[in-house]
Amino acid sequence: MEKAIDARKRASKRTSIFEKLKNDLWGAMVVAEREFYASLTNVRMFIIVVLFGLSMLLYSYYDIEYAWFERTPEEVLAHVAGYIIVSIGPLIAIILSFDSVTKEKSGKSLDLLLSRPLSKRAVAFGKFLGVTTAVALPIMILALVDIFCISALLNWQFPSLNVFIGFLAFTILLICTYALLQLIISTIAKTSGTAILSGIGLWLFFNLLWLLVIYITYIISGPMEDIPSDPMLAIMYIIQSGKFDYLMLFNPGGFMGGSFNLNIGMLTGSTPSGIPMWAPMASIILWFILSFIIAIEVFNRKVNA
Amino acid sequence: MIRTHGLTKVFHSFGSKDVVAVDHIDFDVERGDIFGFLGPNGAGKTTTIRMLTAILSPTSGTATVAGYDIIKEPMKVKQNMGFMPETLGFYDEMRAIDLLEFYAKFYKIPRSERRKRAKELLRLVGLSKVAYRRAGAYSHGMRKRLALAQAIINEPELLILDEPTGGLDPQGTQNFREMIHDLHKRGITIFLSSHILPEIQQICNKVCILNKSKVVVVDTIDNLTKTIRSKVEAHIVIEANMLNDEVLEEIRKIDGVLDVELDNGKIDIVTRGDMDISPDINSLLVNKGVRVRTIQTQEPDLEEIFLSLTKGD
Ligand SMILES: Nc1ncnc2c1ncn2[C@@H]1O[C@H](COP(=O)(O)OP(=O)(O)OP(=O)(O)O)[C@@H](O)[C@H]1O
Ligand SMILES: [Mg+2]
Repeated sequence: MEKAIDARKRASKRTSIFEKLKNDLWGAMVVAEREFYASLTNVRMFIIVVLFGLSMLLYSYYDIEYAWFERTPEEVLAHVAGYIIVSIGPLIAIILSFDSVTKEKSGKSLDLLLSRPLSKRAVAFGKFLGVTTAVALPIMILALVDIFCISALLNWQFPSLNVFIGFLAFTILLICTYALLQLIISTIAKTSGTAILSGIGLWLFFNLLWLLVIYITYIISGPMEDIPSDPMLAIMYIIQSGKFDYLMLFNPGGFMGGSFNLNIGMLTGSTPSGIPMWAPMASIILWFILSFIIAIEVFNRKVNA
Repeated sequence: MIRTHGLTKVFHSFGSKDVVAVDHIDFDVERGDIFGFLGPNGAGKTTTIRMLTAILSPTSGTATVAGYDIIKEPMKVKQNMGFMPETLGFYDEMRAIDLLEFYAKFYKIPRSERRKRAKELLRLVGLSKVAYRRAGAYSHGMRKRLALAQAIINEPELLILDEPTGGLDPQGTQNFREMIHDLHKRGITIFLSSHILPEIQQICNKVCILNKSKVVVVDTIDNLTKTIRSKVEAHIVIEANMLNDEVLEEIRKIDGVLDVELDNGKIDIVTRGDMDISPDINSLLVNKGVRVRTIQTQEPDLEEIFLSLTKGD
């Protein structure tokens, strides 16, 4: 008898949790929709999209026209991903979303939002969803345009399906991850100025200072043979050797870095360093999941605490 | 409608002292009240309101608002109340009507209904003519009106207003008061904060005075005015010919007179604030054959009372 009552109580609790989730999801969509339109109609979006599109197309063109050997579409895509997407993609995500929370703090619009029937986690999720779709949408379109142009330049050879999907999936995951990292920064930062500076600092760390990280690890682990004396060539040599590929697993853009990008066509199998190809894929997925959880929880704790 | 139990908020900030913004406050707001929440700058009004609206979680204590606990069921609280914040942060790039529709969406009001209600509310607060203007292009007074409109978009039974008339001109203040009265007539319970006593006196039936994060007094406006008067002095100043010490002595004997002073042909009579003895004095002077040129009563200034209640320790 009592058990039956208990079970019913539990059932009603479960539906109420379900109701809460449904309610939060609705609220998050409302927040996301506004965030999406606000980001999409922002002038900086327009400028950045044009610059990004141009650099991607120009890079593809030079990669094909000035290659020593005839390129396959897979190779070109690997290069576009490894040099353009990995470096400029995160920067775009950062620049387009750096003030998503600081702006609300300085504009005092947060109280009006938080007095609506949705949880803080839902607000954070909505912001993430709105900003990233606004960033990812033009980038996806440009990526498709780029793939089309690459094929046109290569006598209508199209990339294989798994490279095509791998390229798009990696691009989206990378942009989402940086948008989330920037959401964390924006939540913690007091002003928009600090937010953008910290965001660019983060970008510099993973894209330029990372070479230093690799170099220091190389020094610590002892010298290699046949190393070129020119420092720039030396670092290229070190990277291409694949010996330090495992370091790239700690970089959100690692999937396309190190010697991994040479393997985009395989997507399975292993790299020159012997690291199985699923590892860098797992790395970017893990980066995304972790930054997602941290972003939502930091927002929940930091905002109005 | 609102009941707080030892509601407390302490702000911890890294590297500096903790701030006790709200310290174990208790008060009750009944259905149908227009409840005034009065206190000087920094007393903790906004912090209390942000807890009541479930925007901020209390450090200790709790409250029930519109029938729901702010900690256990914040969503229900938010669904059933309307809130007008002190600082009006709108998305300035959006038009007023779109903003209202945006806020309406959170309450799952159907699409067709949303637009209708947004228009209706803009008419109610007198913004019909500028409904399609960006919120960023609104004046302060217009923003206040827009803030009131968004607070009632979900047809709440309780309205919480943080300094609704702050920064408005006299005409605007008057209009706002009328709007608040209209909403009250529709059956909405109203809780409003202010640091201006006469304003609370004019609009509210009950008041809670907050000072330095603690409740000083909670009472009806009528009672409060009475108790305060008994503690405070009023003055009657009389200009008259043929004043002499005998007359002054007689005045001193009247019940309620605390002190009498003669100064340049004027007598300054200090009386108890809760008694009106000017008729007694008047008849005495007539009996004594004193010709009164002017007689002025100075009621205790409620503003002063408020200051005396809230100043110092
Ligand atoms: N987010 C916060 N962090 C730290 N301290 C805060 C915060 N919000 C308010 N305080 C402090 O709490 C105290 C009460 O502030 P509150 O804004 O509640 O006062 P108020 O009564 O609304 O004043 P006013 O009439 O000026 O609006 C002040 O000392 C203020 O500095
Ligand atoms: Mg305040």
